[in-house]
Amino acid sequence: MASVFINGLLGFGMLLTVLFCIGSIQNALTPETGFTFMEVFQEALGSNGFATGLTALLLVLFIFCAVAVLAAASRVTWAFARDDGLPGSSWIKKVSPSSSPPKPKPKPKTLCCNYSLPLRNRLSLEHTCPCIPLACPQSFPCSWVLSTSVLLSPSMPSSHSLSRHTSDHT
Amino acid sequence: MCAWQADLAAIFYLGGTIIQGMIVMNYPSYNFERWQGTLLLYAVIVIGVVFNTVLARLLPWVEGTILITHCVGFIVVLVPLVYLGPHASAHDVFANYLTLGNYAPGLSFFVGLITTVFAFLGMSKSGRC
Repeated sequence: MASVFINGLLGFGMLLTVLFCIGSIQNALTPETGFTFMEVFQEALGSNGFATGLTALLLVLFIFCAVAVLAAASRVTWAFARDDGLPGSSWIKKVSPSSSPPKPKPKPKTLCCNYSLPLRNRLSLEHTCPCIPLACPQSFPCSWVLSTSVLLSPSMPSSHSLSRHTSDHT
Repeated sequence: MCAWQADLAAIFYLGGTIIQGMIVMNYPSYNFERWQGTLLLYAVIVIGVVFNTVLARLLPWVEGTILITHCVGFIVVLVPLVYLGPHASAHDVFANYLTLGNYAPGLSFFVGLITTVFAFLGMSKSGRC
């Protein structure tokens, strides 16, 4: 939890910085590059080279973040398939006998199946890009509301409390 | 789970289009085409898949790199911005409200809120680990 607060503070600091240094709001709202922050960098630093450098830093962060999120999303997909929650679950949840069960990190061979899912997802979504920013932030809070209400409901048997399972939760 | 998949798509999309944005910034003669952004996006997907399958051993290293880049990047981005950038007045920052959309201010606020929720995805991740 502490990391959340630290990050929140850092994020708020960054927000204030950008607000103070945004320069012309009209320019920032209609960026040539398609990204407001690049326009802010360009205007604040006055040089394409500097702005590219800073953007490259963010790009590295984004790509590594994508790697981590890919792992997390595949784990979620696999776990959901183990509960037979997906079409084709039997195919996705299968663990190759040559690799050990995917614990704590799912093994490559099983994940090859799982990784094709985001790819396919991507293929079908590419023409409907506007729906991604809508689907993503809205379905997350909805899923939180669902899961928290299940956890908080008084009818929840105590044997299913979170603490019991935290030890094998990676 | 659908949200995770959509989140994944959004991050790949951002990665690909940021590369394209950098090209636009440095080569003014370059013509912006959407399908080129999609191809760059596939390149980012390939990086992600390779790191998670062939180079799965390196995943902890990747997480460490994220942490270091994140901390260093905060300072590296903040200092030049504050030092070199234009400085708005405190009144502009805290008391100036702009509603440039076609909606009422309240509706605009909630529509804008959706974008902000994107930043909460990371929080859910750190809460999960």
